[in-house]
Amino acid sequence: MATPVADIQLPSIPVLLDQSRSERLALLRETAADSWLARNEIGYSVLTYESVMGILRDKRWHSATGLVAQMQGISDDAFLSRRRVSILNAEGEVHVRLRRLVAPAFSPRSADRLRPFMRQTVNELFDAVAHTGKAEIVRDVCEPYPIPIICELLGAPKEDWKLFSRLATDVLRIFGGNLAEEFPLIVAAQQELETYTEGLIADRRSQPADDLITDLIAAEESGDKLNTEELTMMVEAVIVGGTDTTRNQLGLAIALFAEHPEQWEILRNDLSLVPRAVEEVMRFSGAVSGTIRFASEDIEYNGVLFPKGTFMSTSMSTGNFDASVFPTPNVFDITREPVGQPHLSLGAGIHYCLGASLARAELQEAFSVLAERMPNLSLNGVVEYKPTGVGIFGPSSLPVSFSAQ
Amino acid sequence: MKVTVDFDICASTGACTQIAPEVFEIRTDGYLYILQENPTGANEELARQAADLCPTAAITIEE
Ligand code: HEM
Ligand code: SF4
Repeated sequence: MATPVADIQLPSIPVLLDQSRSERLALLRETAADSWLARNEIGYSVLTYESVMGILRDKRWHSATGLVAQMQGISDDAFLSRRRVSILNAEGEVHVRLRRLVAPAFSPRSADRLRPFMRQTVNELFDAVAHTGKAEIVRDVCEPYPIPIICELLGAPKEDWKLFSRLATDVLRIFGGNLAEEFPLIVAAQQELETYTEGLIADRRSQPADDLITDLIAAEESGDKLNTEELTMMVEAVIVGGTDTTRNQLGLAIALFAEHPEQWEILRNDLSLVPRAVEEVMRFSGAVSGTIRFASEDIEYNGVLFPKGTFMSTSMSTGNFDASVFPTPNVFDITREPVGQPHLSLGAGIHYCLGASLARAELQEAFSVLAERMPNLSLNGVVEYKPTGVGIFGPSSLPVSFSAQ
Repeated sequence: MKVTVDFDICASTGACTQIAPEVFEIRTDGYLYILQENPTGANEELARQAADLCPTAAITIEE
């Protein structure tokens, strides 16, 4: 018989958002060493590799990513009435249908086609600072990098890059720690994004081009098509899911290499290690440290009964440090032999990151360009990090120096 | 049993390789490869589970 989760003695994870990320991670990883499960402010957290995988792969746990606003006490009617199915929180057949229709646009092959454009984008951004030997690399390279790529993918014009970047950042504040205060800004950004996206779609309907929006309009399987609302949602999901994630992941990567110059040297001397380096960076320091699910029915797992409605956080940042899967997890080592089990930073199960091939290609191209162009990379000041919320994490400022070429 | 994958739709998520590592593999090029097109024994059930969990329903099983 499974024991109801409420009757079990469990460690609890305090909220303490004013902790630094490293303090919070240390605490979580310490807790994970003793218990796969912990209590948190909204429900429970799974902390080990196996349990994070177990929850993310179990279809009875549904995505709660559409509920974060309500969980933080927001009950704004205008907002709640706008909430509709997104690929990020759809389940069952609705979800499979959406993913199948958009999948060809996100296959490894599609991502590979954009690699030359990715290289060109990093090179151009880096040109502006190359001769100085110094950069605030977040501002100069990481922040702008994903925008042209997502615009190129979608087919949005260059004039829109700035607008696009701002909207993506503002919409994502919903996963930040300060929802009550930022809420009006978020709603305004969502509305603006929707109007903008509808404009893009209308343009492509009248003038098809070689881009994702045209593909999505055409995406069709046995007579089935995305309707306008679904199209808008998909384009928004790409804008929102594909920008802040990539830029923060690249920022975290450069911070790691600046702090581990010997690893940067290893990479510079053997660029065939780039794909492995990307996986190790994501394992060691993922931009998305967790996600959230709720029990769609009573669920028994590991001898514990979770009643219907239970909220569960899945802690990728502790699962990625699980010594039973990754030997010497605290060592950042880009030559690490693959263990046959992937890191958790791109998720798992049916909601596994749709943009994974694209994200990997973006990071791989950026690593190989920057490794060649930034010999002797080192920190040139203090790295400042964004506040640790439940959302996307990365450096807000990263001053570096390197040998100018 | 015969396993096929629609490679236009496969997103290399690795869900199948985790569940049925003897049937599916993702190589360093990032692409998925089928190791056993006609799995037998325990791998038959694992292949079915993998097909069920594939986010894009790219795997087809013919019994
Ligand atoms: C390094 C960069 C990235 C990271 C760390 C990342 C991380 C993640 C994670 C952890 C999930 C699973 C969320 C959950 O299970 O609740 C996810 C889903 C998703 N990602 Fe990414 N992502 C990245 C890049 C991208 C890119 C470039 C795109 C789009 C072009 C994208 C689009 C999406 C979408 C649409 C989903 C929802 C998929 C679904 O629910 O079926 N992501 N991502
Ligand atoms: S689970 Fe599906 S999408 Fe993922 S690698 Fe396997 S076949 Fe491809």
